[in-house]
Amino acid sequence: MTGRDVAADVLLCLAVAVVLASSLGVLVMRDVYQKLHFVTPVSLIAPALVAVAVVVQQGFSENTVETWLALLFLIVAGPFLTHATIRAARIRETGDWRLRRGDGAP
Amino acid sequence: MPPVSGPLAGAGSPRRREQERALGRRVGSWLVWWVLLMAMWIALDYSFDIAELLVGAGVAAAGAFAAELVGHQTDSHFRVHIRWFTAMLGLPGQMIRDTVIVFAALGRFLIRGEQPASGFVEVPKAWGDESPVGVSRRVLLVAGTSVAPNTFVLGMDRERDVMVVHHLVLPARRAAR
Repeated sequence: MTGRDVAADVLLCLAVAVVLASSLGVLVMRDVYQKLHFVTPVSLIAPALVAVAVVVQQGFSENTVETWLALLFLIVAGPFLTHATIRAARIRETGDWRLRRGDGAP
Repeated sequence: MPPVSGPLAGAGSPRRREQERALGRRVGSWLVWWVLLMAMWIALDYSFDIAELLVGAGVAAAGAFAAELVGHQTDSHFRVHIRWFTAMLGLPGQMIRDTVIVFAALGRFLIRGEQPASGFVEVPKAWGDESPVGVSRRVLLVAGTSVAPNTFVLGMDRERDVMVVHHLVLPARRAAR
């Protein structure tokens, strides 16, 4: 087992740990707004770790390019998906996404 | 169930349609899309066989046409200033910091049962105008702010010139209020 293999394995383990911890976060947090904060690590951080692991393992090749393209799509789509979801949840809950008196920071 | 707000498909006024646009600009925009899509085809297919390149060129042309059609139908075009991208250079660091903040909050909840001090915050941000640059700026603001795990954008209020965001862990000065 080379140093590259070890580094790639560590990164992959880290990605799995991020996904497991995020799943736990989604499970235990109080409401949809708090739960949604744990979706981003699954959709962006873990894939980024996997992409780095692929580069470490294989160097730059056609497979690496495909991995980075897939990551790029996730990075572009992720924030909008989260924004649309939280907005839809807010509208469903209160009828409008704008803040009302008392909705701000505690 | 609360009353529905926001646009409904098929209700209200028709979508904005693009005003007349010079043919040269339209062709230029189509060409940019085609080059981008063709580059993506080559990166994914990784073959310089003539037949495969021709298929890629055809698919890229259809994709570029679809992108232009959507831009025409919705009267929206992406226009950016290069300086906006320099502001994005700090995003990877912000993502790592926010990931630590979010998981630390989870750890505190699991160990001590301490709920994170989360909430909505209004951040002053000018709405801008309805030009392609103004719309693109708002799109990038929403995406750039929502990419880090501790913060999501709920929306931008054009009347009050504020951006409403939700933090899982509020910044210290807000939480102390």
